[in-house]
Amino acid sequence: MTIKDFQQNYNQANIKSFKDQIQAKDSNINSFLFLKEEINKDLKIPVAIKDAISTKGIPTTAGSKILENYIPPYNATVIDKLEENGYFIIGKTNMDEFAMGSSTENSAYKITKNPKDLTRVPGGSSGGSASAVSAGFVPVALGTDTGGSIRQPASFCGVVGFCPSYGAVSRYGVIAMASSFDQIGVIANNVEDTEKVFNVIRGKDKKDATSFDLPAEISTKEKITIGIPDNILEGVSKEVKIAFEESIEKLKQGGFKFIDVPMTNLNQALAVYYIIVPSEVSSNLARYDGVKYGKRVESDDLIKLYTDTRTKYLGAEPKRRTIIGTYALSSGYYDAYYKKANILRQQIKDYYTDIFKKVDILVTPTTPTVAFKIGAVLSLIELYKGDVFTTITKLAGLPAISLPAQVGEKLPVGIQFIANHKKDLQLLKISKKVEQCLQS
Amino acid sequence: MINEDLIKTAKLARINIQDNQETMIKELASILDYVEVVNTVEGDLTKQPNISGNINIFKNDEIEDSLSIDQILKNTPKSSGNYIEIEGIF
Repeated sequence: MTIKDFQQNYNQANIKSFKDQIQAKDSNINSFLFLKEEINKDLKIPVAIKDAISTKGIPTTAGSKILENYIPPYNATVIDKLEENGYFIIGKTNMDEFAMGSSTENSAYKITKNPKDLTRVPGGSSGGSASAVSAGFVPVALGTDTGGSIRQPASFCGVVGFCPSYGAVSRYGVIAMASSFDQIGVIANNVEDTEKVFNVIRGKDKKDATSFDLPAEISTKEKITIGIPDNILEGVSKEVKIAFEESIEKLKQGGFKFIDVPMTNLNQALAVYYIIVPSEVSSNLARYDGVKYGKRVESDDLIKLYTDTRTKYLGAEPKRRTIIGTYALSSGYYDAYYKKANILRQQIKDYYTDIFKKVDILVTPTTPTVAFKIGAVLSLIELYKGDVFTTITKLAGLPAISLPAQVGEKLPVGIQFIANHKKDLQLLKISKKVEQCLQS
Repeated sequence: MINEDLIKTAKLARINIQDNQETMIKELASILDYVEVVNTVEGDLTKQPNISGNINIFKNDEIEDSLSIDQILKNTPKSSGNYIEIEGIF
C-alpha cells in the first residue's frame, strides 16, 4: 500500500476497517506492540512508529521489559512534525530490545514474522516497522538505524528503507542506543513516499544540537557515476549475488555509469563499530537503574537495587554490549580499544571523502544473505557479520537507502546505495531513477 | 586474566552474571577476540578525531516551559510527595 493507494481506497465510510484489518492480520505477523484505539476519522496518512521513538501518552518500551510501564510525558520532535503535517500515528512497532539485534527476536515481548515468508525473521532492529509496511498494514513507518536497523529489515521484507545523514533528522525523543550513530529514518513501499515523509521529519531542531538543515541545492547532473567497491561480493550468498548482478546489469542498460573503487577493510570497520557502539551503549543504558522511571527491584541496599533491577529486566544482548562497552572504556583498555577504534573511524571517514570525489554514489548489497529462519542458531559473530555493509556507512554518518532488488516469488534481496554526507536529497533523486530501472 | 577482568567489569556495570557466568564470559571473550583486529592500527593515540565535526553548539539562554513534577513522577517506581523515593545512601 502506497500513500496514494491509501488516499484512493479509504473514505469516511470505510476508515474504521483500516484498523480492523490490522488487528485481524497482525495476530499472524506481530508487527505491532501497541495500536491506538482512536479512529483516523480525518483520513490522515497513517504511519507506524518504531517503539524506540517517544510518543506522548502512548506506551514506549524500546522492546525492553525495563520500560514495560513507561509512558513518555513528551513527544519526539519527529512525532510533533508528523502530527502537524497531516499524519496519523496508528501505533508502535516491535523491535529488538533497545535496537540491539538484527532479527527482532531480541524483543522482550514477541517474535515478529516476515510477511514474505512466515517462517523467517523480518530482520531488525526495526522489524516491526518493516513488516508492517511489507504486510500492507500501513503505507509508511518510521524506524531508527544505528548499524543497519532500517535498511536490513527493509531488505529482508522487500520494501524501501532510508537512513538519512547523521544530523539530518532530530534525534530528540529517540530512546538512545549509540548516540553518535542513532538516526531516525523512513520505511515505505517506494522512494516517492519515503521522500515525502523524510521532507516532513528532517531539519534543524534546537533540542538536538547535532541536527542541521540540508543544503537545498541538488546537482542537476544527468550522467550518474556509481562506484562498486572491489570484491564486494566476497562471502555473499548465491541469491544475493545473482540479484545484485542482475540489478547492476539493469542499471547499466538504464544509462548509469559504473566504475570500480577500492574497498576499505570491512573486517576492521565492523570491529570498530562493535567497540564504539557498545561503549556508547554502556553509557546510555546506565540510566536504567530502577530509580527515576521504568521497573525497579526493591532492596534495602542501593547498589543491590541497581544491580537486581538491571539483571532482572535487561535482556541478554543489552547486557553483553553494556559489559563490552564498560570494558572498552575502562582505564586499562581505553587506549587499546576505544582510542584505536576512534582513529580507525576517522580513517574510514577519510576513505569515503576520497571515494566521493570520484563517484556520485556507491552501491553494495544491503545484506550478505536473505532473511534467515526464525530460531536459526547463529553465533554472535555470524550475526554481527550480517551487518557488514550497513554498519560501515554509519561510521561516517552517511545517508544510505536499501531498495528491493528482487521481488516476486523469490525471497526479497535489497540493494544499498550510499551518498556523501548531507547529499540525502541527491540520493533520493537518484534512487527514483534507480527504482524505475530495477522495476523494468 | 581477561575472564577475571570481565567478571569485574560486569560488577562495575551493575549486572549480575552469576547465573550464566560461563556462557556469558565465553560470548564476551568471542567478541573481544573479534574486535582485536583494531590493534593493528598505528597512529598517535593522543590525537583523537572529532568525528561529527561539531564544536560548541550553543543556544540562547531563555526560560522555556518544562515538564511539571507531576508529569515526571507518573513514571517513577516509588515517590513520596514531590520526591522520588529511594533507599538512603548512608
